[in-house]
Amino acid sequence: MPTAADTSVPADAKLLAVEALSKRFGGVVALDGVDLAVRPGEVHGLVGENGAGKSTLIKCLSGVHRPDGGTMRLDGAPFSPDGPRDAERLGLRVIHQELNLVPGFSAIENIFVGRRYPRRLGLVDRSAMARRVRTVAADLAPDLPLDRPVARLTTGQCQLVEILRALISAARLVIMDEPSASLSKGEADRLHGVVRRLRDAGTAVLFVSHRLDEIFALCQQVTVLRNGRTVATDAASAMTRDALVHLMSGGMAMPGRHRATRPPGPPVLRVDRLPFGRSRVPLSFAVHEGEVVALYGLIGAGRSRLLRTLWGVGETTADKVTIDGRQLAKSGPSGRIRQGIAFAPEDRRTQGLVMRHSIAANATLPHLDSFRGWPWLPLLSAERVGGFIADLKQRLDVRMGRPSDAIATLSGGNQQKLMVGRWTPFPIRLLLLDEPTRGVDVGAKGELHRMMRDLADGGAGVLMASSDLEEVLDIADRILVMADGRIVAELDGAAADGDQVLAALFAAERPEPGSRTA
Amino acid sequence: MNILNRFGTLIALAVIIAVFSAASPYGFARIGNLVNITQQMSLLAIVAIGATLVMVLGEFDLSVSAMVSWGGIVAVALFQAGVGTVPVFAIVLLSCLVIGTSSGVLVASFRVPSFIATLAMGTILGGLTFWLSDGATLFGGMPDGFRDLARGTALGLPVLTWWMIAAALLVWLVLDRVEYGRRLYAIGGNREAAMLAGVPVRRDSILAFALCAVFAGLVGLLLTARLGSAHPTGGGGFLLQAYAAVFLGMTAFKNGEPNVPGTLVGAAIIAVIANGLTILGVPAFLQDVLTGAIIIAAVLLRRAAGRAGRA
Repeated sequence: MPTAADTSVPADAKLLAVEALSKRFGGVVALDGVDLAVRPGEVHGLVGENGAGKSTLIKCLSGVHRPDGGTMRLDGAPFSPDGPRDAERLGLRVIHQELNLVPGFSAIENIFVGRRYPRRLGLVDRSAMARRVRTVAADLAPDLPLDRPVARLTTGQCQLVEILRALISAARLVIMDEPSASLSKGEADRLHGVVRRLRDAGTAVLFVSHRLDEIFALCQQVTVLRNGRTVATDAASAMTRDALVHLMSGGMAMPGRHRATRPPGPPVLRVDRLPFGRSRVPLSFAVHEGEVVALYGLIGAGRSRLLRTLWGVGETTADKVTIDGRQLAKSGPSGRIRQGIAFAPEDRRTQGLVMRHSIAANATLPHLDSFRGWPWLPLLSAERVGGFIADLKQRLDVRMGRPSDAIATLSGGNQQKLMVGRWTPFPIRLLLLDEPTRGVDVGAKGELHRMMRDLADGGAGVLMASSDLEEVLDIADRILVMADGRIVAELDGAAADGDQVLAALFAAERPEPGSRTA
Repeated sequence: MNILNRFGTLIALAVIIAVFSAASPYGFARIGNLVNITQQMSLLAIVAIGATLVMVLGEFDLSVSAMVSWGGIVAVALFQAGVGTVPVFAIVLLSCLVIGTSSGVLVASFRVPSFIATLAMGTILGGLTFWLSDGATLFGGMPDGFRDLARGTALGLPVLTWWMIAAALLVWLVLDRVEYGRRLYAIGGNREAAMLAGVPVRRDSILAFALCAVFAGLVGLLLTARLGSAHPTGGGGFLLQAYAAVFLGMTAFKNGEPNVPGTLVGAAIIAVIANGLTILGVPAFLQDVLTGAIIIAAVLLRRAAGRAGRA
């Protein structure tokens, strides 16, 4: 265990040295040989496409995950934190992208959650708490209301609270996971000032960001991850923006395994000047018969929200959206189902499936009234359900036990195949998919892609939100690049390569203050 | 899944019956007494079966006791005003349907936590019941035809036992085989996933509260028919015992979800304990203590079995 008294450190030593780190989740390889070296007093940029392994790397460093292979050293000593508290004890601070605040607590109260409270006469000394927070806040966020419940703060202000929380006690390495993603221009500038001051005080900062101009402005070193591997690490001054984009995409081209076999037909879905997102910028696009259209963008670009809106559980679509020329039904998902729309949400555990229920119960849920023994009686026929499951199992090649087994007994890939595939025996005009292959193995991914292509070939339209660039290039006939709730570029899927898609995305990633959509 | 895990509560019922039978072979274990137990448990079971519907949603209806009392008082008041049996049934059940629907709307549409909404609804109902009855026991004016709905036997079993069997069959069928029941389980299992899969979450939830109230109202009618009178707090004992039965039943079958066969087993356990301890001459206060302790023990046992099953 390294301690602060560790004196056997050579002069040019690395503060953090990660070598050949690997991590698997079931059949999915998340990290596959990550190397990373951070020196004391250095701001080190970490970039990579969505799913490149940045988050997993951070979780390994902060003790949330245990790596399967490779080494991590802090100040030359082996570093294997036993959990976030242990990592914190060893001098690591992580500012997570997702917020972990107690809504009813003020900034001051939140900052002390899980820490030792200053005490006076055995009681919590609130004024000492406030003094300590105010000292740190004076630099970073002089305008932040520290006494107000954070539920009443903006997302950007909450992010500042998270940052304050990490900086309230001295750290040796601060990891910032997209800290500026929800900050306004002014807030981001102040954050950059704080990062520079940390650096000058000798603290190392690992700075994860999708804003490349920010990376170039702040960082001395940059490491690029792709597919769970370190593909480059170099001085920022030795890199150009184009080179960085190229490294992230790996010069990905379109393998074209799942291209359309026919020219697109008439539009199935037409979105015509739909006011959308916080900016209410009107959105227009169409999905045609036989077409797979990808919505590509960063987390928070508004893709999920757009799909949910089309599914009837988000914003109102008023009369701006038509399917096969008809208005969308008013009655939410059940009306959408009757109009031939299908939807597979982003997170199958919390949104897609009832995990403790059976395979049969989950597979039949969207079309319960299709399994009647007698058409006029709302009784489920066990025979029909059984036949349906047998058919699905064969059609989707699902490896499963009995239909009455809990769906949790299936692998993630098979769960995903069922969640998407349960729609396919029914007539579908438009399939909406949110991250259809996140966290599934390569085999299931291929089968899901084939399922999508078969549906499109059968005359349906497919609209898929994905953060997986390779997938987007692999299957999409058209790519709509989204940022801040707007469609900022439209690319031909057969002609585009990874550089073009990422370039379009990063060209748009300079949001107006506070204009991000959730 | 091992046997203990799957049928733990059923085994517990068998053990309890075996113990009482050994302790009192000529009192407790007589066929006549066992049949009597099915009658003693019937009203509790029907309330609990209604509560099961709401529990499947993952919600509570704490107004069932007040609903039972309400049903009884309204029935006698109507009889005394000269209304006939059929209209009395219709009016009482309809009023419960309306009240249950209101609770459901509060919970499903206005997102008031069901604990609070139904607690408040039960309090309101208790006040109304008290006002209607002037705080006194109401009796008289009931036709014999009404009283016969809850006394005597038919086909060898007490009439009340038949009511219980009918309610259990009906709700079991609805929950297990009817589309509506499958949707209720889906909502209780993952509300978001159910909603995104097209389940009309709000409508289905409201109906569950309405049905629960109707079953409680029915028990109010049957209790009044049985006793020949109605007391403004006559349903007071049902709330805790009904939920105890549902909780015991959740541990009986399925993956810890409320279900009708389980609820029946739960109600049977409670009734058997009460009956057996009475026959053995155990004082009433001790019966309550033992009943509570046995419920805790059953649930803990199930937890332990569940952990062993997973390991």
